[in-house]
Amino acid sequence: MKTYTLITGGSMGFGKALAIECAKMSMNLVLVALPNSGLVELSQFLKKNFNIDVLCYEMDLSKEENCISIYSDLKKNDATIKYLINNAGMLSNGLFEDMNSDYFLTQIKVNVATPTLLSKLFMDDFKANVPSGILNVSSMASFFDLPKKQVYGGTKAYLLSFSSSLRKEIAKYGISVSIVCPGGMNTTSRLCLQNRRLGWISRQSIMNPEEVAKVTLRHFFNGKAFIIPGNVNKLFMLMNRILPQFLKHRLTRNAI
Amino acid sequence: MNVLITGSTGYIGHQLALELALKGYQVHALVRNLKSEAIPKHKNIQLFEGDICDLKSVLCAMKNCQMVFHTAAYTNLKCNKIDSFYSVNVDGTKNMLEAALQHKISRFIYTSTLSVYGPSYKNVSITESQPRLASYMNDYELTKSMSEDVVSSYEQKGLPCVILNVSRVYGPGLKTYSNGVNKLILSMIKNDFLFVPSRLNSIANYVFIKDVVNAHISAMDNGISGEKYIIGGENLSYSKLFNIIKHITKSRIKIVKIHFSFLKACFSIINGCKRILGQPLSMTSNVLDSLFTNRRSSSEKAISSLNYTVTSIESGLIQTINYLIQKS
Repeated sequence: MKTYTLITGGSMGFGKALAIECAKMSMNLVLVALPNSGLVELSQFLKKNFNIDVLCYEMDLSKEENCISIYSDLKKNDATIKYLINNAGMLSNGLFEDMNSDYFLTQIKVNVATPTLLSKLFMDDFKANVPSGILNVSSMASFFDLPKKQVYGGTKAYLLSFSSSLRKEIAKYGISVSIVCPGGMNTTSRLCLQNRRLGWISRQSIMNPEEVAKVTLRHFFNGKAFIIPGNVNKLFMLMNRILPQFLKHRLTRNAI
Repeated sequence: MNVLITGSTGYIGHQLALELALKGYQVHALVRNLKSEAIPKHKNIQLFEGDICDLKSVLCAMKNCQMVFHTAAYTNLKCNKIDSFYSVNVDGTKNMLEAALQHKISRFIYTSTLSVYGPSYKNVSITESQPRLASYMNDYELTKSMSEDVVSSYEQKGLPCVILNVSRVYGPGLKTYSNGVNKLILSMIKNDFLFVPSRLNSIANYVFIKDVVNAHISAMDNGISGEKYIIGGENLSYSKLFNIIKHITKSRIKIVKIHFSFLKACFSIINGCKRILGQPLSMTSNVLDSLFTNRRSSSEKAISSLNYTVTSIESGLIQTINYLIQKS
């Protein structure tokens, strides 16, 4: 039986950078992303050039049955999961009163329900493959009060709380649970453009996904519970504790 | 047949316009300044004053045209304002596409760059299906990539579009920002010493200007709408390129290597001072990074489906060097 690392949202941005870093470490991959997001091309490239096996699933993770079908398909293929990286997430940026309820309900499913369900589905796999682990991708947004990111920040705060509690529960099996809270990253071209138009202070915190992926995975495989990539982001966290509210708001005005 | 071309005062566009005119096409050239010295002159080339950032002028120049070559772009990597890149490369391209859709253009040929694919991985040549493995290195790559997305969206709306991803172009032609190889050859002819960054084994792909022009013309008939084609030539390291140029020019130039990061730091300091004094920048770390990124690539797809042929680097460089010597 081959062991795999499962990465959700692996076709673009941070998920893609994590996939490439894992491929460099010769880990077999299971990548999941929405259809037409470049997933097949990425999977083929990694499979061909990194001498690893890559299975890919183009599907919508907001649906419970899709998560279950990934699980059963992997079992059919004799694949077992050693590491799970819950990276898929839906961003949002808008006033709550203008938000479509379908949108945030789906967002809550993808950002909250899906990572929780996947963690549960593969629990026996993790136990069978110790040392193993779960990496949940949260955000700096989970620490700050960000207007226009109410639901997003809330879903990320859930992951933070879920991860640290679950970590205490399953550490006894040798399964590590880590949480990473990246700040702004140059992921989609729209965000790259937005980031380049930021003011000087905010721009200092922006990182490229490949740097964040390197740092994150190094800490994850060392079993670190709580990962904040980047010195500027660490500084933000420190300032969050000591600065008055109005200054914090100014600093996080444009953060993602 | 009438064709519209943008960027005819640029390196590729200029020669493409002349070649199209020679082949008997009626060429509509959209130019910003009718008095520019770089305007290609031929009886089949009709000038239209305008700007791709002004939709009205584009619509006017495109009247009665069947095909469009959009080669104009903002390429000055020394500029650190993303909006200069965005307004020309993304908004300008959108205007071109909008006008083309309205005029029911039968083929829109968009000149893009190999750099949208990012660096190549180890010894694997970049092909059209390679996913981008690293973040956008500069505003040019980012906005060209975004403009390709806009092209695709218009292709979905029913405008037949072909994208050509051109690698590093060299060969006789206008002295513009986009032909650094010519500048390199000239300095190797004139000087006794050449100071270069220490990363001489970084590999780039070099394409001869005439091949690029031919590829554009072939794409009119042979390009398949919605497809992208890498238009490149040979993959070479800098040391090999220097050796070939030295051999052809019989130059005895001494090549002095300077540590890459040290050089970058020096330019940062110099440019910081220059920015304060308001002087133009000669070299920036953006340009250096872009020049020393590995971009090994393959043009197999263009060769098999566009009848594309590659001029060998030796033959291309001999023609270029003869041209440069004659001119100076």
